[in-house]
Amino acid sequence: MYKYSEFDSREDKSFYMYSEFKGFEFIEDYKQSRLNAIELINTKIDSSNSLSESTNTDNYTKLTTAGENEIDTLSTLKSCVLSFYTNNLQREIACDWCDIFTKKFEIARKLKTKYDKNLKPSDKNETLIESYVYLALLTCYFIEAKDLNLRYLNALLKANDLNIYNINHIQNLEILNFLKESIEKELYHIEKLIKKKSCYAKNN
Amino acid sequence: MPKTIEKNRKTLNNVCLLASDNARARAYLDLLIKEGLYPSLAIYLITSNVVKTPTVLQENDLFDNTTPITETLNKHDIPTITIETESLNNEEVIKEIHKLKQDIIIFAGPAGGLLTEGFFAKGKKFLHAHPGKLPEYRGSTPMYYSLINENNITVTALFLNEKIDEGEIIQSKTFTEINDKTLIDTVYDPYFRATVITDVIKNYTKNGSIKAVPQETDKGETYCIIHPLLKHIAILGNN
Repeated sequence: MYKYSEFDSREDKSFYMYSEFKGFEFIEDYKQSRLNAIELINTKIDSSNSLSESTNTDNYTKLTTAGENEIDTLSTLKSCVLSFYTNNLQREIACDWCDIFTKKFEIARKLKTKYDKNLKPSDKNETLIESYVYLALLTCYFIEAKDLNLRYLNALLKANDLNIYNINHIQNLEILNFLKESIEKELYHIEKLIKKKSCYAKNN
Repeated sequence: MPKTIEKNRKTLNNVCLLASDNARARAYLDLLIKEGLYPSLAIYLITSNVVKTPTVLQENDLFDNTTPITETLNKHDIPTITIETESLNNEEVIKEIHKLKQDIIIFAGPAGGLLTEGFFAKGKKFLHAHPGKLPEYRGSTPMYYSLINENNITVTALFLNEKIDEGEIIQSKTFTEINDKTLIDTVYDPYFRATVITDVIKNYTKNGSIKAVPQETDKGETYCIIHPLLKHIAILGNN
């Protein structure tokens, strides 16, 4: 029943429009689908001989303030995520970038490789899949920081639909771990919301 | 056969309806007519390049959702200009709008259709009902976000401008009675919006003008199409 991670949402702008109501089972199916993805990631990590070397937090580069220079999407999103791991003081800048990339992702569905000072695409090519994993993880931090912010939770669900759709193309161990972490955090936030809204099956 | 002249019919000489055949337009027209309020003109758009809306005409007790809008316009002798176009923002549509003698245009165009700058060049006022409280809930499907956050749906009437949901606010109304939340898209959303549009037009006929105030554009969130999972939580949520 949960089909949203089985198709490429980037190819259809109306992918999420007028979605049908399928009852409480839909929520159960969503959870199962995410748990299956985590299991698949674990299997891939366990057989990590074939995976590329993990990078580490030393690769952190200083974040540029939005509007200062042309930026590379992948390295900016990566640095935003690493700012949380290294506990450095650039989180305010990371927050701005999270907002910018969330909007771009929600509206255009595809993130481009580079953006100029005015935040317009300066390279028409699409960024790598890894960028969407970083974006998903980045939104997780701000959902927590902003008391279950629905705008970010919405983007997280869509980003992870896309990431799971692309899971077989991800070969990097670090990215797989980041994806696993973002799916686990997403499930945690969704459980919290379900509880808050007393959202249960009618026979419960 | 000559048509009977409806009693208490008030033709709104300064009001035009810009509509495609969707539930929202059917609700607007039905509720206005029930109040005896008739736009003096309708521009009916047949658009091909738009987001597909639910095709089931959900019958309900709140408004006539089964009669095609062209039939209702014809039945009530509302003069209609029909335009077949690929998109709402086609030059032909803009030209037709500029030619209008009516200053107020009730907007019930295709779902997700945003008016480009050209529409606003001649000072026409586009009256729109946004299904969210403004400035707090801008963007798409705000009613579901509001259901999760506030347990209600607010509709805000505003005059559109070039920016998304940032136009001057006219009035708003909050709705809490939703008997079946699975019918939000097909019944309650169009009905709630139609209720607010009808209130605005009723006030307009009484006062002769529509008061609108600028909104605080630096406040609020812009939401995007709700993810199906959050939509389920909004529908199934109890508090």
